[in-house]
Amino acid sequence: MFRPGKASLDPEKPRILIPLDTSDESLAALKIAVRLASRMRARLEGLFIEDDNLLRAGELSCCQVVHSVTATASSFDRADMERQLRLAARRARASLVAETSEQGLDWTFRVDRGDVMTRTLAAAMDVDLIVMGRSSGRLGQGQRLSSMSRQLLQGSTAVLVAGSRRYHGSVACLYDGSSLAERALEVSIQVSSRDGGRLLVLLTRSSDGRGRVEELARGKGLEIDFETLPDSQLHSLQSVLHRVPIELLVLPNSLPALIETGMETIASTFDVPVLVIGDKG
Amino acid sequence: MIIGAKTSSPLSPDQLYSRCDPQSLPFATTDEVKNTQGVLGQARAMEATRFGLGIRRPAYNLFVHGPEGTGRHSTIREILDQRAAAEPVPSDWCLVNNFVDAHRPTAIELPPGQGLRLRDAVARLVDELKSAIPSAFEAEDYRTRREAIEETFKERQEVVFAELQERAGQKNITLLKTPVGLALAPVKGDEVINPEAFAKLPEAERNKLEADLELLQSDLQEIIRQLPQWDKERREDIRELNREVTRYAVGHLLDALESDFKLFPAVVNYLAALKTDVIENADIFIARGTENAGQQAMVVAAAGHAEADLAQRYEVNLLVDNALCTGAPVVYEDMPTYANLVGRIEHIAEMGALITNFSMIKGGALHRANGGYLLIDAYKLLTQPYAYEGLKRALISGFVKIESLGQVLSLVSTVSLEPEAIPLDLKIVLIGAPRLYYMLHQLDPEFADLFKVSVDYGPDMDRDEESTATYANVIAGLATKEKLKAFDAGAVARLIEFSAREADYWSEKSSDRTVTAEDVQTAIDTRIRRVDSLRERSHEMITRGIKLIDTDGSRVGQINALSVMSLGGYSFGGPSRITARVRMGKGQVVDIEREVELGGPLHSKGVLILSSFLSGLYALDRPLSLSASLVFEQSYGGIDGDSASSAELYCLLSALSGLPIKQCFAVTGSVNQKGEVQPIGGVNEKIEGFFDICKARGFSPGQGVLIPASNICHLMLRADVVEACTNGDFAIYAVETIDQGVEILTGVQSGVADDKGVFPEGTVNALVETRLRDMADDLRNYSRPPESHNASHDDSHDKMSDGKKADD
Repeated sequence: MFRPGKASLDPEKPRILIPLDTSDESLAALKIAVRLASRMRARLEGLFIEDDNLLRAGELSCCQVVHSVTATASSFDRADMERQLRLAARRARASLVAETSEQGLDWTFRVDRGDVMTRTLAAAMDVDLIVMGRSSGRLGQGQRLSSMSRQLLQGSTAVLVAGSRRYHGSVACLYDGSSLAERALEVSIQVSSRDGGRLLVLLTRSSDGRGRVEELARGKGLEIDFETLPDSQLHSLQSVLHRVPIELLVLPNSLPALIETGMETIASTFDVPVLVIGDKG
Repeated sequence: MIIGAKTSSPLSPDQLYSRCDPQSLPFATTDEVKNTQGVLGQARAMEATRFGLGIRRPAYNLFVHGPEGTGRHSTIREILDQRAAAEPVPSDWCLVNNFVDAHRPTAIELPPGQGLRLRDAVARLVDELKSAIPSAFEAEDYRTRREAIEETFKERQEVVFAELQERAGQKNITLLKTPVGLALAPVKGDEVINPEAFAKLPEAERNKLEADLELLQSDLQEIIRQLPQWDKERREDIRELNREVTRYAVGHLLDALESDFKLFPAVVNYLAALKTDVIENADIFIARGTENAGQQAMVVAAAGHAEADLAQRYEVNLLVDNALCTGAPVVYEDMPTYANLVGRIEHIAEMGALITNFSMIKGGALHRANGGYLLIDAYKLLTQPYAYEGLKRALISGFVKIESLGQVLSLVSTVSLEPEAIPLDLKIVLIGAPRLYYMLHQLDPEFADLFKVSVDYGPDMDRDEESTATYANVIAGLATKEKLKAFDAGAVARLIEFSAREADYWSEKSSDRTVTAEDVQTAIDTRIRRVDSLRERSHEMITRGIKLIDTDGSRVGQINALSVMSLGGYSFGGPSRITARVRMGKGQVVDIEREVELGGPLHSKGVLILSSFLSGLYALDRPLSLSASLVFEQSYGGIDGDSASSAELYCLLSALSGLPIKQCFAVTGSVNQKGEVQPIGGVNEKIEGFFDICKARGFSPGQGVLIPASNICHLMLRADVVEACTNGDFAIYAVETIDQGVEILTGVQSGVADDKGVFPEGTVNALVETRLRDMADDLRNYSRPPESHNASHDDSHDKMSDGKKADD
C-alpha cells in the first residue's frame, strides 16, 4: 500500500527504503536515511511489516507476552496483536512524517504483512539503497540481520547499516580501484558535496586512485584528504578511523574484510553508519 | 474730669534694628576666612553627636532632630565624612551557592578587595572548566572506556538472550519481539506453528511444549526483571568514570585557586564544595558542547540553559564591594523603602513563571553601610511601608537578612531563597523633625532602646562675636562650595536668612568682584517682590477702603489689631479691626469668632482671660454684670492665637469707659489675667504691615504700633520703617502692662487704685469701674421683686421680667 507524501513522485529520483518499527534503532536509522535522502535528493520509502509469526502466536492459547517494562506476563490473541501492530505502524508512519517534513522530502509509506526478512528482501529488490537499523542484539536478531544484509548485497542493492551514534566529520570512502569502489567513490562525492564538506579517501596500497579521485571530484567544491592503508583488513581501517572523526563510511562490496566479517560487525566496530555499495548501487 | 496721660516715649531708632557692624568682622571678604568649617550655634547638638559617634556599641544610634534649615543634614554629613575617612574599610561580602541546600545561599566575609578578586577568579575558573571538561570527555580514552562499559552491558544482555534463544531453539520454541514486549512461541522450521498444527500434535508433545514454554517464560521474566538493575549498574559505572575524568580535568585548576585563597577558610571550604559539585555535575559543562542531532533549535535553547545553569550555580554574587573605599562608608539612603534598606531578591519571568537564584540577590543600604554609617530621613523612613520595622528588626537582631516583604508578612508560601544573614555593625543616623522624635519616643517602646542618642538642633542661636565669626565661616564655606564670589564683610553682616546664591546673582549683574551688602539687600528685596503679591492685594483692600481700617481719628470700642499670615514660606502682617459692645449682663464676654467656629482655642483662651482680668481688677466685691461681645470685623477665615488679646482688652475698656481709642495706633500683644502684656511672634511683620498701610495713605501725626516690651529684642525692622521712626513719621511703643497701653491709646491716665482700692476720678480704670458698678446696681435693681421697684424702672422691669422669663 503506497501513501505518497507528495502529489507527484519523480521516477528519476533515487529510492531509499527504510524498514520501520517502533524501536530506538529503527528511529536512528530513519534519521540517517533522511539525511542521506536529503543529500542525494532521493525519495524515502517507509516500510512497516506486520510479522505473521506474531499473528500466529496470538492464535496459540499457550503463548503469553512478557512486558518489557514490568516483566509481567499476559495472554494475547490475534485481534490484540493486530491492534498492536496497527498502532505500531501508525507510530512508524508518524515518525517518518515528522522526520521528512522539515527537509521537504518525497516519501511514501506502506504496511506489508508476512515474514519480516522475506518481505524486506522483496521490497529491497526495487530500490537503490536500503537503510537498516542496527540490531540491539537482545533477541539474537544480529544473526538474522547479517544474513539479510548478505542476501541484500548479493542482490546487488546498496545497504546502509545505521550506527548507534551520530558524529560529525568527513565522509570516508575506501577506494581499491575496483568498479564497485568507483561507484562507492561517486556516491561518496555525491553525498559529501551537498554540504561542501570533506571527503576522506582511504586508498589501498595496491590502488593508485588519487588521480582518478581528483578527476571525479573536480568542480564539486570538496576538500579531499587521502590516507593510504597498508592493506584492506579491518584493523587497518580501525587504525585510521579511530584517529579521524567520520560521519559515514562507504565501502565497496568487494572488500575482503567486509566479506569476512560482515557489515554488521564493521558498523558496530566503528559505531558509524556503513554504506556498502553493491553492484546495483 | 478726665485726667490726661503723661506722654509715653516711643522706642529709639537704634532699638528697632540690631545692626551688625561690618567693621566688627575680622575680615574684608570671605576669601580671607581660612577655616570654612563650622556649625552655627549648635553646641548641644555637636556635643551629642560626638558622644553618639564615639560610642561604638549597638543601639547607640542617633536621632538628629531640629527645625528645617538648621543645617542638620549638611553638618552631620560633614562630621561623618571626616570621621569615617579615618576609620578602617569594612569587609567585602559575597553570596555563593550552597551546594547542600540551594535555598540558603552562603555568605562569605572577606577583607576589602578580596571579594572582587574571588568573583573574578571563580568566573575565570568556570570559563576554563567550560573547555577543560568537554575536552576531557571528548578524548579517545574516555570514549573508549565509556563504550567498553556500554558494550559490557550489551554483551551481558546479548548473552542471556542468546542463551535463552538457544535453549528455546532446542525445544522448538522461538523468542518474538512484539510491540509491547517479548513472547515465546513454538515453531516449526522458521515459522511459528499454526493453531491447527499445534492441535494435531500428540498430547504428550503438546504438554511438553506448554511446560517448556512456561519454564522459558519464567526465565524470560527473570531476565527482564534483571535488566533495570544491570542498567543501573551501567549508569553507575559511567557516572564513576565521569567523576574520575572530571576530577582529573578540574583538579589542578581548583588546586591553584585554593592556594590563592588559602588564608580564607570560608573560601577554601566553598572551593572544596564547588569541586565536589563540579565532579558530580559535569554534565552541565558537557551539555554545552554536545549537539542533539537534528534539533538545532533545541540545541541552542539547551546551550542557553546550560550557560544559565553555570551562571546560577557557580557565580560569586559580590554583595558588598569595598575595594575602592578609603575609609568607613557613609551612605545616605534617599529612598528608604524596605527593599532598599535590607536588600531584595529579584526574579525573572521564564515560561510564564517567576524564577530566581542567589545571583539575583541584591544588597541594601544596610549592607553598603555596614561597618560605617547610614543616614536616613526619618519622615521618608516612616512613610515607607514596613521600612521602619525592617530597620528595627535588623538593629535588634544584629543581623541583616534579605527577605521579601511577602516572606516577612507570610503573604506568599512559595519556595524562595533564604540567604544567610550578615552580621551588622553600623551606626544609624536618623534625621527628622522634633515632633517625629517625640512621637516615636512616646509610641514605640523599642525606639528609645535603639536610638539612645538624641541630637537636638536648636532653632536659633545667640548672637555674639563667636557666632558671628562662625557665621562668616559658614558663608565662606558656602561661597567656596557653590563657587560663588567672595562675600565682603558688609554682605555677611547683611545676610541673615536669605540665600547666598541669590545675592551672587545680583552681584553678577553688577561689576563688583565681591558680593556686597547692597547685593544682599537687592536679593532680599527682589525675593520679597517675587512672593508678596498676596500682601499687596491685602493692603490694597485696605487702602481702597474695601476693608475698613482707620488710621486716624478716635473711636469708642474700636481698635486696630495686628495679625500675621504665612503662606509658602513668606510671612506678612496687616491690621484688622476689632470692635467691642457692652451692656448689662451676667459677666460674659462673647467671642463671636468662637460662636461661629472661626476662632481657634488659643484665641478663645485669650478672650476668656479678659473676663478674669475685668473681674479681678474691677469687680472683686460685686458680680461682673456685663455682657460684652468682641468681633474681628471683616474676617471671613479662621483666626487663632492670643496675640490680639491685649487689643481686645483695650477695645473692651474703651467700650466700658466710653473713652475713644486713637485709630492712628495698631496694637499687638497677648495679655494675662493680671494685665501684663506678653510677647508675641512675627512682631516685625506686624509692625511693617501697619507701617505700609500708613505710608500708602500718607503719614499722619502720631501713627505707630504698640508692642509688648518683651518683644524689643526681636525687632529687626526694615530700613524704611527705621527711617520713618527716625524722622518722627512713625513710632513704636513698647508696653509692659495694659495700663501703659491704654494711656497711649486713649491719652487718659489709666489710674492706680489708692489704699482703699479706689481709682482716681477721671482715669480709665475709674470710668470702667464706675460703669461696671452701675451695671451691677442696675442688675440688682432688676432682680428685686416688682413692688420694690421705683417708677422710673417700670419699663426696665418689664424688660428684665421678660428676660428672666426667657432665662427660666
